[in-house]
Amino acid sequence: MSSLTHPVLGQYIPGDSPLHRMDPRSKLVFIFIFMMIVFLANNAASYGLLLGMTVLGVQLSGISLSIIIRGLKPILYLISLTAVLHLWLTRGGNVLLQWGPITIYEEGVIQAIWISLRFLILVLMGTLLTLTTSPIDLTDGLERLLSPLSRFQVPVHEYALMMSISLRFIPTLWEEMDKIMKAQRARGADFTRGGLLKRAQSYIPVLIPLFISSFRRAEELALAMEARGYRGGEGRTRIRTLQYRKLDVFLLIVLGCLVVALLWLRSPS
Amino acid sequence: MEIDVQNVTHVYNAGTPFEHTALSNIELKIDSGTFAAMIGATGSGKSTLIQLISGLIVPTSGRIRVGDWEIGPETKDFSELRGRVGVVFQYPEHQLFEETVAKDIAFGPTNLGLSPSKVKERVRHAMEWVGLSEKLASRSPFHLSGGQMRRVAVAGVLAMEPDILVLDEPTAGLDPVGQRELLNRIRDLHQKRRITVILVSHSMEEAARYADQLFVLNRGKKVLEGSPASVFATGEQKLAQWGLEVPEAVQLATRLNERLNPPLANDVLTLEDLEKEIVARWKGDSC
Ligand SMILES: Nc1ncnc2c1ncn2[C@@H]1O[C@H](COP(=O)(O)OP(=O)(O)OP(=O)(O)O)[C@@H](O)[C@H]1O
Ligand SMILES: [Mg+2]
Repeated sequence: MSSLTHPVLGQYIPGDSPLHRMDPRSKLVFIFIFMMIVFLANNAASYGLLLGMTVLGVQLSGISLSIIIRGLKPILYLISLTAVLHLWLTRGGNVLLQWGPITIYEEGVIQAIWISLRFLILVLMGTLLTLTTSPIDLTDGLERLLSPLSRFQVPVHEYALMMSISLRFIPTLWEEMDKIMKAQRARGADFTRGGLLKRAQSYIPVLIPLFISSFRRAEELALAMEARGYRGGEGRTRIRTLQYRKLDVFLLIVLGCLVVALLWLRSPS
Repeated sequence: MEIDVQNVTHVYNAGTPFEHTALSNIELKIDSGTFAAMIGATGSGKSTLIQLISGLIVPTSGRIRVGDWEIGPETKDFSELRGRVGVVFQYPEHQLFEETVAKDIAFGPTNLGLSPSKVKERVRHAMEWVGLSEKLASRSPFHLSGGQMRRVAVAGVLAMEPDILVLDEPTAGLDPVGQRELLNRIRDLHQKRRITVILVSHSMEEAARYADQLFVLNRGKKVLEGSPASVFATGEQKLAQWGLEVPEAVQLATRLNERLNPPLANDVLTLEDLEKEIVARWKGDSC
């Protein structure tokens, strides 16, 4: 009976690697552009380049691959499922295998490989961002990058605050849920037996206290913020300021080279 | 039921950067019918140890024997143990969920598979034990005072009639009168029904007043065990190193003993004991 303490997908792991030291804004810009240019790749050379970048990123993060993969497990199932769907549904090219109602085409295999590789690269890069950037840095960076939008009446500060509070409380909720589940198990609750409906019902004694404590927490937090004079983003200064360094310039140069290299390597369509 | 903890180590999040050894090589034995207390500073591993004893988590290595059951790293099924060991967690009122007090208390006994009439009887008894008036049975537990909610939660565990009752800081956040009352009721139950009680506390005062056997934890290790008197005899400095404070009555007795000859008996643990000793001494001297 394990408790629910395995690291959540992409939970921040403190460290001092080059990736940790970069400014969250440059990391965010990098990831944003990266996610778009992934779709440029369409042959072995271009996918190889992207995969190489990802592996390099994992290396630089100083976080062991086994931990990253452990966090990714649920996503890996999703990727396998997509791969199977592509194998099964894509038509085109030579027939490689025919077995009952299932026909597998050459095109299907290629699609399945590319799509799962793309998916994997995207998710890996995304996790690298959250593994090496604390939630506070992440939301700070996002707020700063999006701050021009506040001129168009977009409540950027409020959204950023909401995001940082939610990120901050995910582990807390997780712990709370673990605690409540233990308490109800001690009172004889069983979360593993019975059919789907019965199992869902068995979570009621967990979910109700969890909701109540979340509301209580939200209320306390609001009160505490008000008591400390919080009144929105206007004119607010920060104790920690973000600063671009050489490392960030370097990252953006790498990004530029990556775009050029991809455009050059991909097969013309 | 006897509890035997054999060379138990517990590591949280093993194999991740968040790895943390909460307990290492714990050995202890609690006889049936004992009122035991675990004391130690914050983070010393008290809650982890009682969760292991209650079969809510499994040890990383070592074995735990509770009566006829054995828990090891490989144990999967604890259903048998559930009814026998009752656990009151820290802030147990945070686990209330039912519409009425009676229904919430009935959750445990119902899970044990008792008949509805049996369950009803258990609920009535449990409410009596913790001193909740019958009028509250049909009220929503969320509209009670903090102290009443705590009692409902404790009643929910008592209604399962466990042989071993584990309480994790049951008095945290209660006022002094409420603290006394709750523990006095637990002690009554312990004496009348001969159940084993394990009380987790970081108050030496509380532990000394109620327990016959103390276990002192420090940074995941058991550093001391014995009767309250023998634990206090270890000395204030040593205990302070482990983040513990000797009760005021014991401190005063120690100071007095530096001047008194012959000294006071060394089993002065509470203010009442001290009062008795001093009165006896004074009367003895004056006649
Ligand atoms: N679910 C968990 N995951 C990871 N670490 C944990 C978990 N629960 C406890 N710990 C860690 O294990 C150590 C012992 O914790 P434990 O809760 O047993 O201490 P405690 O003696 O009960 O403290 P307190 O008096 O504050 O309740 C602490 O350092 C704590 O941070
Ligand atoms: Mg604790």
